[in-house]
Amino acid sequence: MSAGKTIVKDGLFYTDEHEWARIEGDIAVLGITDHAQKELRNVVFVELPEVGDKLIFRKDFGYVESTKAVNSILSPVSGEVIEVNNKLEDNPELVNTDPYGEGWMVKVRMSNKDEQKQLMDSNAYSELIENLNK
Amino acid sequence: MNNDSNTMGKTDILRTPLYQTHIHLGARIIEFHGWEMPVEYSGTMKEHKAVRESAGLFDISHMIKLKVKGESSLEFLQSISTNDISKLNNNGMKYSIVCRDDGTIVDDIVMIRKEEHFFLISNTSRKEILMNWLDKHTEESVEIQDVTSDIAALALQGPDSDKIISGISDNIDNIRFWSGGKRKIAGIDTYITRSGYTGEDGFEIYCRSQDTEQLWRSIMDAGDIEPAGLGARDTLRLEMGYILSGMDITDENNPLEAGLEWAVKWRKDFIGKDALLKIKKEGVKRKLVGIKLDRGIPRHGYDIVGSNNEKIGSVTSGNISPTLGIGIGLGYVKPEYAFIDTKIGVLIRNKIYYGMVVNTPFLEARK
Repeated sequence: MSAGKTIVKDGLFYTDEHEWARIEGDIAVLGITDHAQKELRNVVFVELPEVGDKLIFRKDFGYVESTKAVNSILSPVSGEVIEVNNKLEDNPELVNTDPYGEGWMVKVRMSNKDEQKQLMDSNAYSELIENLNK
Repeated sequence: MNNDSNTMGKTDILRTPLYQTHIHLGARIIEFHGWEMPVEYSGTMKEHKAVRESAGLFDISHMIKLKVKGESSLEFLQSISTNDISKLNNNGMKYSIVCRDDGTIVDDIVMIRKEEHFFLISNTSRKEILMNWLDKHTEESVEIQDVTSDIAALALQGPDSDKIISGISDNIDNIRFWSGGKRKIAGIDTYITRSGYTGEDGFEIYCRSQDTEQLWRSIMDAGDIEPAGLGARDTLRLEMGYILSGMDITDENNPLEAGLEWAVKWRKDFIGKDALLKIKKEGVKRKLVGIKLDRGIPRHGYDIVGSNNEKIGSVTSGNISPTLGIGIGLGYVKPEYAFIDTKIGVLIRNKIYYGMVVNTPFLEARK
């Protein structure tokens, strides 16, 4: 049962593969959206990169596993990982309970600010979700 | 996000009589070997917990159901499978394995002896392989009737199952573990067995397909029950170390390496016996073991590695254990690694995740 309405947060940037980025200056915090966590239902394991790893725009940077399947997470930006949410190691369910907050995944120093233009804002992403739910 | 799993090609898709019921309950439907089946409703973790702590109801109508009739049906079943059903009473049940001449496995089956025939239950994923094999070995005096679409099946599993069914039926106490009987449940004609695939007390209940929706509703209304899907069915059986045909045993495997010798009766004759005796004498080349990982989730097809990171086998089934909160799995390893506490690793996306060989069930049986 997809209980409750899918949440889309204003002020974040989104990919059409349901990742989000909170961008301040050249720093981006990344995670997966409420729609994505609802699709997964039970997140049971999250594999993340390490500090210092380089992420590439639209390439895998980690994996999120549900009871059913393994899904790769694509990076909304290019850059270097400067922090990882280690809480997800023992509490992967935070991705389900708070996808835009405690369920964040990595913090990145962006290497190409122009990529931001290729991401959706909350209005565009809301529209995408509405179409998916039709 | 990208889903890495494959979807099957679309052919003629089958639905159980409960398809609409599942949709109304908000189930996520997947295609499972030609059937559109609910994989989860509220979520596998919650459904799993309900079965361990109270009760869950599964639609298992996709299981293959065969009636085997005719005067030599007993001799036929004795010859095509490894277990001995010659002393099985009416309404008794037995697990058995169908082997080829070389000892490899066609499928595993459950047989129920009924007054008028034997009732066989087998795996959807292996239907064609099993049916072809049976056809090839059926004598004229034996008739095999496929009643999969005529008869639906529900599984009520969990510690509250007995209380729930007793409230809407009579003489349930007389149905002992691994036996069955005809009973009216909420006024509906059923055949009910005390059995299951979860490690909990519970029942598997067969009814005419036109009565299925009413039976489902009557049971759901009789207690605090979580509808449970194929996802929970898989994590529940995995925690008990129960093997799944098509995953843990395939065309390549024999019952001895799969740890199923308890279902092979050497005192009688059956197809594959000579080959299995030879394997028993020479020793198996690999053994199915339980593994648990410190972190990470083993999954079907991943390599199992030894202390020098050399490949020693592969995972056949794996997932999170919702009860234990760690990754568990079954897999074949070379016999020298098949000892409890042997340190192993599983190669997951080119990284080694460490763990060890453990006893199954991963959970103690609670019956």
